[in-house]
Amino acid sequence: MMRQPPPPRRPPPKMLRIDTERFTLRSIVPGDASERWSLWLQDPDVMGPVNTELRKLSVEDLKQYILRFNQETRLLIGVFDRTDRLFVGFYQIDLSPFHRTAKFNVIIGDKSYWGRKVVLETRAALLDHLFKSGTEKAIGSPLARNFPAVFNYKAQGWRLEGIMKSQVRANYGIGRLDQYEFGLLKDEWAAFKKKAAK
Amino acid sequence: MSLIAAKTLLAEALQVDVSLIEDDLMLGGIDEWDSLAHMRLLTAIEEKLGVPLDAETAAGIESLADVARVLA
Repeated sequence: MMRQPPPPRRPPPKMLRIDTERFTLRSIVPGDASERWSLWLQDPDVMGPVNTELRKLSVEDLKQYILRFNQETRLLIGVFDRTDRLFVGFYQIDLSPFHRTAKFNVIIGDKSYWGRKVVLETRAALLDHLFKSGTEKAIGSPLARNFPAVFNYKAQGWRLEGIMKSQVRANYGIGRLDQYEFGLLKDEWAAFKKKAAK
Repeated sequence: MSLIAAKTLLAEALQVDVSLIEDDLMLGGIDEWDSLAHMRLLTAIEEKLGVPLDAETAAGIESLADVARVLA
């Protein structure tokens, strides 16, 4: 009997690393799981604006969570302060190779970094990278009550494409929440950067 | 509400002197109009109005003129 050849081994996913002026963005690995990250997931100030249920996850739980991202089409990218490598937040980005879209979610867990334009600086670098790598449209869907996130989309030239009324159930309190849909095309991003550089 | 009153409210949210608020100021037009300042601004508008902003109105606030219009 002929022995079956072993299945072709998939190459390991390409790990991303981008340096911005103040931050390093890189693919998160299980070794990045920490008690500090776990505490963000239990903080209503951090999780409330994204309407995510507070969860007590152990470092081991976080490691398992990190392994759910294949880092090819489901990216989990950490934001690290370049001065001391402190982990301050993370992006989850879902890529659709067929539609050539990138759906962004971001949480800056370290509250001392809020209001310091972390998202504007780091997402700009990610947009540059993804648009160069084949993405044609970026998508963001903040809740309407997440005013800081909405500011960041608007200040970065994203276009409000629609308002989804009562789109999700509120995890905090009662009722349902409205959600925005923002979009940014590759050409729009290029035009925005050109205008901003003037 | 007058433009001057809107300027005062915006200056308080941005935590800057009112003299820095130009008539044509747009969202992000000065460094102090950042994400947290925007949250303070919309919260202050809601306090003035006494009701939460609906999604359409909140999405339309992108300048001093918009602040004055919403509060009028």
